[in-house]
Amino acid sequence: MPEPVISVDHVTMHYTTRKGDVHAVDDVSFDLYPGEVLGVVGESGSGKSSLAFTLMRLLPENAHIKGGHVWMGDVDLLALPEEEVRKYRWKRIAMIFQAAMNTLNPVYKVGDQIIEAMETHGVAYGEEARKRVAELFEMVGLDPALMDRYPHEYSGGMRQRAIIAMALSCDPDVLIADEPTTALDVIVQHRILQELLKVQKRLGMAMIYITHDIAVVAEVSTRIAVMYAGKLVEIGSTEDIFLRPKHRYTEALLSAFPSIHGEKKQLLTIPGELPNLLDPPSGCRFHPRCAYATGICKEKEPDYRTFNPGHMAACWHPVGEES
Amino acid sequence: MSPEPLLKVDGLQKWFPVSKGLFKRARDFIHAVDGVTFTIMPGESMGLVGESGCGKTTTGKLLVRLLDPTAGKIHFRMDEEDAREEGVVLEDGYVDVATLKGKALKNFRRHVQMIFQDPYESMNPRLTIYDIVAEPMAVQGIGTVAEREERVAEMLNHVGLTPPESFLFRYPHELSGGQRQRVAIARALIINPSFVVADEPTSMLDVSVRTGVMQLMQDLAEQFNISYLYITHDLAVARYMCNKIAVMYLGKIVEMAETEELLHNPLHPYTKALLSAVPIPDPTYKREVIEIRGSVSTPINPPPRCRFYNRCPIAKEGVCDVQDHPPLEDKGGGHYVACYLV
Repeated sequence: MPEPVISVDHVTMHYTTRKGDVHAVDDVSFDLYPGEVLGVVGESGSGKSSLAFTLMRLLPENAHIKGGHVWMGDVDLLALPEEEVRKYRWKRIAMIFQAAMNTLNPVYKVGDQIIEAMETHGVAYGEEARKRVAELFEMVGLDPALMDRYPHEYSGGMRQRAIIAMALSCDPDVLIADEPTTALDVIVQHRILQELLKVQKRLGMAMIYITHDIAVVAEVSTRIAVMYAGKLVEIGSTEDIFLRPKHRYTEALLSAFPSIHGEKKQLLTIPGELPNLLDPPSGCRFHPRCAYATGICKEKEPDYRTFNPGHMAACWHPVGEES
Repeated sequence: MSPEPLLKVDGLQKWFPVSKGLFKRARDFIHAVDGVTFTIMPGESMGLVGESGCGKTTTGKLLVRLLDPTAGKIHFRMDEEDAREEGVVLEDGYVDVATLKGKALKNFRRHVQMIFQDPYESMNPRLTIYDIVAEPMAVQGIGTVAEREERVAEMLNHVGLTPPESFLFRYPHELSGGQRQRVAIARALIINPSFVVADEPTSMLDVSVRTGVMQLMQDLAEQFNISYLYITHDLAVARYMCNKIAVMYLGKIVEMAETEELLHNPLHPYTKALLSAVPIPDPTYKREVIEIRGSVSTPINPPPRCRFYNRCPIAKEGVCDVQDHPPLEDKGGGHYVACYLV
């Protein structure tokens, strides 16, 4: 097993609000290996984006890291003072955000914004930086001539490509992509995903791909982590998760998702609503909506069990072990 | 079930002027919907799919007359008794919605309703759930207050917001997205419409909540014999919600067929490209990808040629670019395609 590029170790993060603490990320651990794409799937409020912002140390003021470590080599990113974090953010870990519209400054040329990012981080300057932007544009499938245009002259897909180019400009080891294609039409989404995977392979970068769309995650990831209500409930290879899911939430999520391929299967409805994280359910957080829940699910939080090397789930009544 | 269609749309057009200056007359037009023809049977649900800007939402708004069409006919089947009561002139049992005005238009709105995409923006935050759901009845002057209360409670029961008493006097912000969309459905169905335009009603909902809302919409359609025009960009959702699907591209329907037929045997090159780009939630599935060039443009004064010409992988010079956009023709078994080369 190679050394992980990032090791997330029992990370817990809460948001403080007037109504109390929101348990956004709760005791999440996983390793990210070089060159892999880890898909993180979850619904709204599952903590997937909060996790990304924690890794980037880009949290709002009311967010509090309650515990855990994010190891990059022997450095704990969560323990670093803010000035030190800057050496890592964007240079070692970069992130692509969901709202591509708002990421680019409308009054500057797109190319200049990327050059500025590189100069700020001391990666490249002047003509050299310009040359690098042209290379990056080519890599993500944009005409280098577009670097002297303004964001409003770009289409949604082009903006998202420019954002990817910007994230890659400082040559990071890890790229976190937070729903980068959610606002795009399917044909554009497909192209951007292919482009992103091509670049990721070429640079040998590790990627965390965050999405609510399990169809997209099936296409991009080598491994998948499933999150529910702040908890990582299951992690495993893409095949393990899709073909041999163990957690009852993963199973339910897969059977609730429509597909245009194959037989038209009956879609399963998951009863109830997503839990309120001000006061998350006791025991297993999925128990109020789970068809298999028993007394223990309500009382005690399940531990992770390994089903296959690298395939873990925290469920009292895993799939295949009907009582 | 009567074999007569509930809705017959013929050559529907909506052009939006592109103004160049405050006092200048617009000379350019966006052909948002440009000659759309289809029929919907009673109880049938038709999906309208396409990318952003293809005119699917505009079509929906035209059908319920939230927008006035530039040209074309929208024939809506109506009971003779209803028509007499509402002062509407029928032609072979149909009223032309495109020409309705004033009182007749208001009365017509009893029969059609719309469900919007965003359950956070389609409700007045200052009204209680009761006020929101009862509003169509109040607007149409149906029932006394006691009758409305009873009907609202009944509707909330139907959409699974039970017990109704615990929801009646709450405000939208107290409800989750899924619950709000159920309120929107209750509001749309409270006056017993026979036709509902649903514009991406589940696209803002989480997967685990979405299936429930989809199931509910289907159950209610069956129970009350409602036809839907289901507007969506998500073909997988359309597969579950619709009997037939029409694919739109730049204001035109390019292909229309029974749902499974369209998904398994697409004929138009655009439909093929669209289907091949839809992600499949199955890591073992390897598909063939059909690449198309460029991206969707805006149909401002489109030239007289196939709208898909400059992106089409099979376009033929001298065929597709020298005549107007191809007509939508039945290629057998009710599978309609608008392409010169199919």
